[in-house]
Amino acid sequence: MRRNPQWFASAAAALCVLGMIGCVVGAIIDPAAFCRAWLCSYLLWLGLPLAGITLVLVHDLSGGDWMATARPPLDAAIATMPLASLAGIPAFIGLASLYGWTHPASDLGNVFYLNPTAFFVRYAIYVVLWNLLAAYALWGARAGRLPIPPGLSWISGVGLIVLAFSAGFASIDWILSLEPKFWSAIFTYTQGASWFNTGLAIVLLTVALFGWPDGERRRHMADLSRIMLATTIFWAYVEFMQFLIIWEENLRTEIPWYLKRLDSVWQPAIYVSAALGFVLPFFVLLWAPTKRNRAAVAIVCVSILISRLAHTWLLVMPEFTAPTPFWLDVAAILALGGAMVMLFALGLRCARRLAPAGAPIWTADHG
Amino acid sequence: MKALFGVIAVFDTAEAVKNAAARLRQQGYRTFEAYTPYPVEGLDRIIHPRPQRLLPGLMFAAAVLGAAWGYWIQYWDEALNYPLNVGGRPYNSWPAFAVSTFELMLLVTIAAGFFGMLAVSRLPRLYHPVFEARAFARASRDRFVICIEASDRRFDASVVRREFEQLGAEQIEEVRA
Repeated sequence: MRRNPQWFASAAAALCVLGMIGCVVGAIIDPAAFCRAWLCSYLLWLGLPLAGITLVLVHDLSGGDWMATARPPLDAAIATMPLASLAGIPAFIGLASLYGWTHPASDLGNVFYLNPTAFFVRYAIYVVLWNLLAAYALWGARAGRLPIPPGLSWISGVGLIVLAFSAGFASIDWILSLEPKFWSAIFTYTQGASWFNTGLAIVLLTVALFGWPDGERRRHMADLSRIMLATTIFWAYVEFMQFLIIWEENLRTEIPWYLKRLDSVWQPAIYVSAALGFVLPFFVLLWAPTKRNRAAVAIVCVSILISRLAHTWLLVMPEFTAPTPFWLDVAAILALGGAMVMLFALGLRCARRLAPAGAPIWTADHG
Repeated sequence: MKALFGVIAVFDTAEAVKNAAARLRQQGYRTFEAYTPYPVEGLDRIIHPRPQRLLPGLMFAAAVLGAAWGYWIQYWDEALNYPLNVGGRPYNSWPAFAVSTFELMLLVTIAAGFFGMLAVSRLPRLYHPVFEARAFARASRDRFVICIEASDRRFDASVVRREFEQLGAEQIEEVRA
C-alpha cells in the first residue's frame, strides 16, 4: 500500500451521505420501494467480506505466496463483515412488502420453512456464523506469521464447508424465495460465484489503485488474476447451465422466472451482466501479459463490479410489478457502498500496520 | 571425422547450471540447451526468457476455428439440412448448440496444442547428437549438463571451452555427430 487511500475515503463519505439522504426521502415516499432498493444494495456489498473469508480460508489449505500481496486488502474486506451482515435489517423490516410467502396463498406447501420467524432465526444464524468465521480469518493475521498453525487447518476446511452451506441457504432465503414456487438447485453456486467475484474485484481493484506490487511480487498479480479468471469462468458456467436446463425443460414452474426478466425493463441487465461479467474479463485475462498489467486488471475489476450490480438488480427487481424509481436504487447502493468503502479504507490502514509490506509472511510451499 | 555438433559441460549442482546458463545468455550465446535429471525451477526462463508466442497464438486460432466449426455443423444439420420442430423452439437454438460447440472447440484446441507442442519441440525424435557424448550419460542421474551448439553465431570451440572452465565445469567434451 504505497499511496494513502485518504481521498478515496473522503469521496466515499460524500457519496454515503448523498445516498443516505436519497434513502430517507425514498423511504418516506415509498417504503416498499426503499426495501427493494436496499435489499439489492445489501446483496451486492455482502460479497466483499464473504469473498475475503473464502479466499483466506482457501489459502490456509492451499498455500501460495500471492497472499503476501492480497493480505492487507483481504483483511480490510473481512473486517467489514459486521456492517455488511447486519445491513440487511433495514430491508427486512419491510419483510411483508418483499416476500410473497409472508401472506401465503393456501397452495404453498413450504410455509414451515418460509415464514417470518424461521426467516429471522436463519438470518441470525448466518450473521453469527459469518462473523465468527470473519474473526477466525482475521485472527491469523494478528499472529503476524503463518495464517494458521498447521494443526488447525482443519478448522479452515470445516469453515469453508459451513460458509458454502450458509451462504447457499442465505441466497435461497433472500433471492430465490422472492418467487416461492421457483426452484433451481444450481442457484446457490451462481450466487456464491457472484459474491466471490464481487469481493475479489473490489480487492484487486484496491491492489491496482493503491498497492501495485513491484519486483519479485509482480508475479503475485498473475496468480491473483488467474484466480479471478477462473471464478468468472465458473460463474458463467453455472449461470449458463441453470439457463440451459430450464430452457430445455420449459416447465411452467421454472421458465416464468426467465420470462419475467426478459420482459421487464431490466432486460438490458442480462447483456450487461454477461458481457461485463464474463466476456470482457475472459478475453482480457486470457493473455498472459494482461494478467500483470495494472490498467488491464483495474478495468476488468470495474467491469466485473458493474456486471455484478446489474446482475443483482436483475435478480430482485423484475419480481415486483410496481417499479422502483431508479434514483432510489442508486441511492441505496451509494449509501451502503459508501459506508462499506469507508470501513474498508479504515481497515486497510490498520492492516498496513499489522502486516509490514516487506515481511516474508505466508510463504507456504507450492509447486 | 564427423562434424562438430557442440561443446558439452557437466556441472554438479542445480545452482551451478543456473549460474552458467545466466552467464552464457549474458555473453550473447543463444543456441544452447540444458539437460538435467529433474526440472530445475527457473532454468527454463533463463535459457528462453521470452514467452513462447507461436503456440498460444496457434491454439487461440484453433479455438476460434473449432467453435465456428462446432456451431456450423449443428446449424447446418438442425436448421438447414433437416429442420425438426422440437417443442416449438427455433431451429437455430443457440443454447442447445452451446455445449457441443464448446466441446468441439476444446477438441480442436487441445489437438492443436498437442501436435503444435510436438512440432515446436521437434518430436518425436529418436536420436539426438548429444547422446554421443560420454559426459551426457549422467544427465539423467545426478549431473547437470549444458550443451552449446556449433550453430550458435558466437560459437568458437576453444573460447567456449575456456568459458566453461571459468564457470567451474567438472568435465568438458566436444560432441561430434
